[in-house]
Amino acid sequence: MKIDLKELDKEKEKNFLDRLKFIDLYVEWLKKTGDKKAFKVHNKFVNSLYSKK
Amino acid sequence: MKVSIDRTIIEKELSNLDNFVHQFIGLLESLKIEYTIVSGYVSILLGRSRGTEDVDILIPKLSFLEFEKIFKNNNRFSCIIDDLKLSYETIKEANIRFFKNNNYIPNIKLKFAKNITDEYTLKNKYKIIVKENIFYVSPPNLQIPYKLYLGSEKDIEDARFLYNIFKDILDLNEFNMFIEKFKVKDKLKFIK
Repeated sequence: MKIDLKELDKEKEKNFLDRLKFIDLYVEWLKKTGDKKAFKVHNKFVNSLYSKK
Repeated sequence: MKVSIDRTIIEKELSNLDNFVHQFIGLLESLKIEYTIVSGYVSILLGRSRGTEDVDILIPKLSFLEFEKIFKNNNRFSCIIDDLKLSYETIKEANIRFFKNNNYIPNIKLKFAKNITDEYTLKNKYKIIVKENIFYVSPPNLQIPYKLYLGSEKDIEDARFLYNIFKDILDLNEFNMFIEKFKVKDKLKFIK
């Protein structure tokens, strides 16, 4: 099996740039939505990663 | 979220991670030890949706007796090295981790200020207020260029997130000065 590293590198860079674009959209959403609603969603995500101490 | 030059105010409930961090900074404050939270947790506090194993906190270099008070801390937090003298020797050279309830994640990675960047971070800390709870964090003018300097994909994503949050209040003279100092001008394309 021959792995095309150049193709994988391109894909890796594309994914990275895509995540950066997502961050722009996410911050826009964060600012537009307002703290109460946006951080309710955010806290739900963060709390799922960490138990209450 | 209200972002201004000297503070950001967020109207939200503290998450479990925020509570964990707030308990530790409460300990530092009760001992009158200055601190600044640095690195990835700052982005999470401000809303970035990712996790972290450790929360980096910078404090001034302490004497053995001062460090002992953190180490003992009424058994609220455990130090990953349970020998006091060895812990002190370790933090003098690198960093030391504290955790709760026999659970290593998340943990606080505590380190002494060791260089001019650390001193600047402590002196120019930025305030984030969450429902009357204060968190002092690394100043954005330095934090964003420093994240670019660290340079992993995760760090660059954090830098982009922080730039998006703070771009209207950055002191561009200072920001550009740190961009120059950290030699990361070529990485600006990732955040703008």
